[in-house]
Amino acid sequence: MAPPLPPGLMDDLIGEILLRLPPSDPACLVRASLVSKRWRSLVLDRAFLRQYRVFHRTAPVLGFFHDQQCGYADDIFVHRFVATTTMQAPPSLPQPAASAGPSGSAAKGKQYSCRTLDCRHGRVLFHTVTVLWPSSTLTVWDPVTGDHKSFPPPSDIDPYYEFTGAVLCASAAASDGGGGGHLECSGGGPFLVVIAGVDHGEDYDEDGVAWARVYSSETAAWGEATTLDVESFVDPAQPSLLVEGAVYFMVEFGRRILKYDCPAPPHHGHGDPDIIFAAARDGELGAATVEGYKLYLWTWDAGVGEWARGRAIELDIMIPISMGDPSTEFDLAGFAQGAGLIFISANDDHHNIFTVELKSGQITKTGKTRHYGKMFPLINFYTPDLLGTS
Amino acid sequence: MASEKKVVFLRSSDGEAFEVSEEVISAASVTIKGMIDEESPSRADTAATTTLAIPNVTAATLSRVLHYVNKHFDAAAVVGRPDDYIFCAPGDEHPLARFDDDFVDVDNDTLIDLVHAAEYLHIKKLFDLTCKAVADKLKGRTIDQIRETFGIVNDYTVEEEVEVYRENSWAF
Repeated sequence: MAPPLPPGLMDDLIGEILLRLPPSDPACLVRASLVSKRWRSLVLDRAFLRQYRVFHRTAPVLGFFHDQQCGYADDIFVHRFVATTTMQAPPSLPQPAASAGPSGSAAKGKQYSCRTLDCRHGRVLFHTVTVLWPSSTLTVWDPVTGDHKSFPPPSDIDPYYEFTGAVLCASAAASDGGGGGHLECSGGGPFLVVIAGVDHGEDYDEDGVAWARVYSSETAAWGEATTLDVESFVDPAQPSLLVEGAVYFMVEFGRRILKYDCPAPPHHGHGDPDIIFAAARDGELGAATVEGYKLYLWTWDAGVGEWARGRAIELDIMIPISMGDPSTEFDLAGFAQGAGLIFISANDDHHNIFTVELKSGQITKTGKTRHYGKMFPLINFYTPDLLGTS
Repeated sequence: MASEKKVVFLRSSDGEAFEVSEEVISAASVTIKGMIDEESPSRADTAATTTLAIPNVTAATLSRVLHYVNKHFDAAAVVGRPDDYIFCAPGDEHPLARFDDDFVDVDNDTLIDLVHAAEYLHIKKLFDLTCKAVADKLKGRTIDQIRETFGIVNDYTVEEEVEVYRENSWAF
């Protein structure tokens, strides 16, 4: 046996060892923190936690959010979280206050439809619409700490209006705008919410005007609308991409992109394209498409103003499912910016979800769920200091 | 004499001496490089080979450390190696990755002895490698097993332990 170590040396070495426990398996660090009071204080030490983030550089993908239709109504959605690591299932998100409705109407379950608009920098953005009376709420939730904040969309927007949205840490918007290397952001800090839509007048008879509004948690207020004349429509379920402080939304089911100028998306096959934002490196405007069993990666070349097709990744070779059925199709379900992971589902009976790591092309089976629309990966450190107590 | 490769001897805590190239060990160990630099004025006058006492490291551990050092720091043996390979992405495997895997595939006590030796001798790459290996061993262990591995005394009271276990029951 190794002789017992002197306490001082022990702390240094234990710290160095615990530092190397993988963020992608959060239960490890929690278990280690229960070994003794000394270890617990070491793991909860602020300097250690800061070092832990710096050492590992990128936060892990903890799981993903997606929407499911309620059993009895097509237009009522609930969000679901699928953990892809050992993290604890997040506590359920509190419903918006019942007082949002007319006086005397108590909020009953299933009277809300909740859509996931975005998940970035450890926060999820939900748009909740009451079913029986016109009222809508945006909620930003940190599923790790349980912190959440609800606020209404701008008052001039119809409650049933479908817009798309993005949430980002305020400091990320101000700096490099990176999706993953955002080390100091551990919830609780100020955030921005960007929502965007296209108006066609009340009876859908006017020329289209695209608009975007920004909400700041620091001022708790919406900024003025920025508008652009454009014939288009938004797809609320399409995840956005953050590149150098600019948010890109896919509109018209991926046929166009809404920024302040609008580069056309990469050319793809006929029919409704399957396309999603996906950048192998942060700071790059990239997209992925699926044609047949091939995943194509694209990057926007701002110099020539064109999409350049990059690597193709063969999905049929690497995804170990029964490929005998020619009707099997792959669906681009989500993208984890920073981690460079694309989520793909197959339309077979297994409901398997796979991830493709863009750097290595490695494909991993990561979970099972029957999902509706897109997925929003949750990327954050999950360390014992942050965990919500509810 | 200058044309010959200089060597130094390292004497372990249990009195065994190991020969190693001065150049190689200086590149690897900040601690030993410091010792050699301190010795050098007196060495210039004599042809005698230097023997350095390493009082904190046993012969068994020291011979393992030198095996590692000779593999990783002998410029004649390895050329054009990226420095920070431990953090390379999976796929671009370093030629010594397999050697490293085998090197740390040892029992707990041996591994912890190596961590201490790497720290004392200040060999950063070996320290990174062995700390990571201990962390990997911790991953699959229960709390009791971790306590046993590190000789940790459980200083929670029964009540406190019940409470923190309850709060973190999801992690088991």
